[in-house]
Amino acid sequence: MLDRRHLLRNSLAMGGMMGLAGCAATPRREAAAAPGATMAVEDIPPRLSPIRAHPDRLFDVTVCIRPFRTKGPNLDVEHIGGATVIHNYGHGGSGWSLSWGSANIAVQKAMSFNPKEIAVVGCGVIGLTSAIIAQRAGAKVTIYTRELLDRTRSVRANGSWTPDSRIALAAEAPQNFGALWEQMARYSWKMYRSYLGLAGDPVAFSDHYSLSDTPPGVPRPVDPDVAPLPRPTWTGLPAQNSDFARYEDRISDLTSKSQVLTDDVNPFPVKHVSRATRMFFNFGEYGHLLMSQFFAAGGKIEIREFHYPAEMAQLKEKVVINCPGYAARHLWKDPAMVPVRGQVGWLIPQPEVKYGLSYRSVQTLSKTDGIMVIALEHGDMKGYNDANESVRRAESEQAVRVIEELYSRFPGGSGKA
Amino acid sequence: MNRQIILAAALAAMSFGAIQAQAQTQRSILDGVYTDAQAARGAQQYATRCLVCHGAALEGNTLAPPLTGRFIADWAGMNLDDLFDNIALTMPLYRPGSVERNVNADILAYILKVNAYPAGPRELSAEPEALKAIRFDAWPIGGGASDASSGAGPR
Repeated sequence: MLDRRHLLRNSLAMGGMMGLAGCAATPRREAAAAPGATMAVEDIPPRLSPIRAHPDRLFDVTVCIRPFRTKGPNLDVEHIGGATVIHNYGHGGSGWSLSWGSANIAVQKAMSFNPKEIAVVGCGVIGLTSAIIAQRAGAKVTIYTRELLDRTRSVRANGSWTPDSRIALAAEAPQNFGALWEQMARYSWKMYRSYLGLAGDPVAFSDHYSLSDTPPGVPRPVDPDVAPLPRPTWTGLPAQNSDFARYEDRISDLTSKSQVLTDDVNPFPVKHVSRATRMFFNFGEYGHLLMSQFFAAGGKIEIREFHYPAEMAQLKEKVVINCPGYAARHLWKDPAMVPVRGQVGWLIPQPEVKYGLSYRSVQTLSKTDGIMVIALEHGDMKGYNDANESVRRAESEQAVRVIEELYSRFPGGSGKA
Repeated sequence: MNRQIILAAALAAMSFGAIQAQAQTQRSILDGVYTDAQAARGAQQYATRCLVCHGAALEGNTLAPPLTGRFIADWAGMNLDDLFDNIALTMPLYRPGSVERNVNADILAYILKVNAYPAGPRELSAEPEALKAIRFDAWPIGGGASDASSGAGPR
């Protein structure tokens, strides 16, 4: 006799005809061989374990401010009181993805001054990758920072391969930025190759299922639970998602294509499902690995707070790579820097959940240190110009309930939808 | 007797050459050692012979080193003939040593230009002695004494 748990697991595994109606589990091979099957056997979704999405399993809620710069990242060289400063900040929602490529550009600029020693300011993912690339280029590196990686805004981000997420405004990006972006993205992609397949999965791939109640291209009905965007209270751009620059077509050869799951293989109780395979970063293991690599190569860290740009010239190293992230807004008085708030709810880790999904403007991503649940209503406009870094737990609980309701519709679930 | 004269003449010629070379080592790639027209020719040659590995922005790839940034640090302090000979002997990868000297000089001019080194009134010569008399310098940290505000070097 099938117990409830077994049934749920199989219904998730089986695809086709499962949904609300439910039915007894059938072996997966049969589904694959079913007449009219529209998907190659190797592409049929594997057994999927359900996410235990309940608000009481939210063990952490984190908030970060994306360091969005309307003109795209600042990689300029500046000379201050005898020191040469190479900027490397303003990567918006693309910092993890572009880190290596951006670091490489900054370090190449730094090395053209032939320094023996380099200072890196900041120990987020941009600072840390800059430091490692500088070591590889032959420099002795000291990182000056207020916090180590695990306390920076970097680890409060999403941490997926999203190289053109809020990277610039289309109207403000420099004319040649697309080519520069492509150079950064391709370099990073190659670098991540060497972090795959390691113990603890510092970098990994997983399938991501995009679920929709409406067919592709048909707008979703207005969700009464989602408040409309407030009227913009700031001056200038942007006002809508399409104001953000997009470059992903330039690297479409790197990533796999999205596949539509037909009814016979769709494991979800939702009509329209597509799947793409995405790369993501496990902050704990990957961050630990980067720190270890930096120290192993002789890197030093000094805890230090900077108050004025002129303090860069006080460092003993006369070539400085400046990676302050969002702090550039006040430290460097950069008017192009705009805060974009993002919040992540963390569900207790479930190693058996090896996929992510998006449904009704909520995204989940299963990592080794927890399952991220992120509300994404309003797309790229969400959190724009919001510098409030305090936690709004209710928002994350609401997002978890959306996922909870989804699983409750599987046969054998609580059915309390 | 004849031998002495020859020896003396040879010594004189050598010391004159040494003085001349010493005078010429005052030059640096920071001083403008190629012309824009030469770099433009070099750009065309680069596109057909070098770009496939070293990239449109001289950024390199996983196999070919970049010709910017670290490239400057790697060659800083050498003379230009060292770099020229290295290129002439090892490049292009598919047929090392196959490119004429004057074409290599044009390509080197283009590399200097992309690295923001200034152009000057005279073309970069492919002659070994002339190349030997030019020092390969990195950019001065802090923007240099006279050019701090304008931010000499890479931007």
